[in-house]
Amino acid sequence: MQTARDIEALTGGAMASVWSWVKEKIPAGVEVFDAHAHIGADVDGRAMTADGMRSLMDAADVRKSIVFPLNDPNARDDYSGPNDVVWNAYEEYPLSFVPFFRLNPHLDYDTEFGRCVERGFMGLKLHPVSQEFELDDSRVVRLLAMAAEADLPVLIHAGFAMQRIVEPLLPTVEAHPELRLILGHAAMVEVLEATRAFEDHLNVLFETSVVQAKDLYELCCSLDPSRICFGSDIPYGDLPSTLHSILAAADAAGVPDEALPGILSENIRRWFP
Amino acid sequence: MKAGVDAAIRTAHLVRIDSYMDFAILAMWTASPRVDVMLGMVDASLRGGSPGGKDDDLLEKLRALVKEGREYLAEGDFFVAMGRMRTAHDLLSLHVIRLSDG
Repeated sequence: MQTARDIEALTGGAMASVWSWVKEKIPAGVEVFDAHAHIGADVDGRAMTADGMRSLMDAADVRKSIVFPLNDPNARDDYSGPNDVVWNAYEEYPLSFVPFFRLNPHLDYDTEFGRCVERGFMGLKLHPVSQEFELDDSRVVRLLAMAAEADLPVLIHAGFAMQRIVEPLLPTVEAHPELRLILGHAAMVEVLEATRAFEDHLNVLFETSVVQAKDLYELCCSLDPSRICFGSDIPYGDLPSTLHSILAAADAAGVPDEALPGILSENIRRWFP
Repeated sequence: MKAGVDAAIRTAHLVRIDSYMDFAILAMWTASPRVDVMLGMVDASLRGGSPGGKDDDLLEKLRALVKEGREYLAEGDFFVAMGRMRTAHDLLSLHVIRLSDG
């Protein structure tokens, strides 16, 4: 849980000059859109409420965030409880949050998928590490096909602890070019290979949360900036440091300032106007 | 010092600090019981001036971020501490990248 002291600490002290640089770098008029954040509780003890999330967004002048459940210790088999927590947050703050639901591909997911689509959830989150599955598991391939059929964007964790990303995912992307896919954490361990494999698949976006600036530098040097979107991964990342990571990496890579509104907002806002 | 040697020793000094930051940040993510020792190693690697003094401004920023990060972590504030450590790591790695570009 974030306190007022935390929020002040995120941009004060030794971070003050960093935060000033970030604010200078964000083009005037850009309404920053965070494409990766969590609401709920995790088995590792971390948690975030709708109000806590809103406080962090307000402090960093972030206007909208995609939110979805953590690896919730109270998740029933179908994830319906944690999904309801996210939906309630969306109902409380419909202008601030874009609600995604989460599923466990190992279990019978059809009913919860249908319930969430019917309810109005705007996307699906999958976490191959937490739910222990591979991206070419037949149940995952089927689920991604269902999302493509429902025109539902999918954010896949493609960050810490991943060992296979491009090779198991590419056949599904090729089979469903209409599938809108967000690679969470920018496929960091295979970032260069991923930019090569997905360069021509315009419905694949690379999301930047808690990715090291050196990985983001490689991303920015290798991919058109229209395919990159900012994320924070709250409560694991925070907004000031993750904004700094992508803006500093883009600056070092020579990404023109004209492309920054896209990275910070417009690229993901195309899917969630 | 020749220009090439100068860049090489500057890079070497910064890359070794980078590796100690890797240890510390990994220790933080995995909640290692030795995390404060790892942060102490980062502190140690940052002591003194840089080769030729050319990277002293960067080192000063890194010292401040790491010091505060270590303090926040000791107080139990992982969220704020990690933000400082990740920012320090990013500033350092991008500085090395720019150095490599001449």
